[in-house]
Amino acid sequence: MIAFDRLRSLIDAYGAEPARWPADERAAALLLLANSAEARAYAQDAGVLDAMLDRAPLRPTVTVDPAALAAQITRAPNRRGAARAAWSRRPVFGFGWPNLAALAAAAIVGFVVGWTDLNGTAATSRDSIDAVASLSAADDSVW
Amino acid sequence: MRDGSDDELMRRAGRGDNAAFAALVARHLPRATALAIRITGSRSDAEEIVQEAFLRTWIKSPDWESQATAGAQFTTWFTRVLVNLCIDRRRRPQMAPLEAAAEVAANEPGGLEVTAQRETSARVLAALGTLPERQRAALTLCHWDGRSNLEAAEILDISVGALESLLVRARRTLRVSLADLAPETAPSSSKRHS
Repeated sequence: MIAFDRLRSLIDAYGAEPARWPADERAAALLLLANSAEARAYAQDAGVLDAMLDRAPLRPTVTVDPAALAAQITRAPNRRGAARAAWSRRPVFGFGWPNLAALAAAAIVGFVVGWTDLNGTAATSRDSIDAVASLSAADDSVW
Repeated sequence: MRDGSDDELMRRAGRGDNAAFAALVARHLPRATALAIRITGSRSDAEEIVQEAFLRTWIKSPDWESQATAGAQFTTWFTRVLVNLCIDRRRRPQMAPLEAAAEVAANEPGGLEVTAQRETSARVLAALGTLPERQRAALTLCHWDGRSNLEAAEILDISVGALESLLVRARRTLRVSLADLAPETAPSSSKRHS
């Protein structure tokens, strides 16, 4: 026989129907139920909720045709093969050659742009220095 | 083509036997749909989820041999996939619980008693819709789907103790939500011991 507290826990969790109780505790729980009026009252009380739940049975109409569903899945452009192929196509080290090529191209473009812009900027800077120097010379002549 | 265990049908489906896969779908579709409707509260969501679960089954079938050898049970695996999809869907914006209520009512014959039953069903399903998704899934598996505590715990990937905790909280909430229906459902309403 199990303790009353345990029976109460079983009823609180699984309800009052012994068929829903854990199989390994059912016999002991039933023995207690048979020998305890308090246990029976507790179970009867929990049975109220069971009865309400039982009035909402799990039997909705199935509108999907099983054969059509199975055919739709098996006929679909072999997603099973596609899923496996996609996985097997994954590059071992995380970078595929297209990624590496794109990275190299971006590096070259960046270098060329940077180099040409740098030369242009340097020439402009030299011109500016010369201009300022000539102005300074003019100013010196005034003072 | 309805013969054979689930495992056998899965193995055959894995070898490209479409008829075996169709038999598997036919065998599990009604129960899967009912379970998904009960957990999501929505027929349209449930049908999408069931289709996705079967698609995953088809994709999984070539590898089933090794899973089965390791002791996997098809119904437990499939139900876990289904329930997880339902729980993920339930975490999105809330459903309208009465949609599922109408679903149940649509199956019942006419009559005054049936009207009362529809009302009770609607109230139960509406109350169920307010439960957190894992409590709802636990109660659905144990009360309506007839799963043992061990099966339900395995499907939800939790311990039996955690399952019992979910069930206790779910039933406690429903008991409060549906208290006004209690006298109609069962004349005997002895006070609950604490």
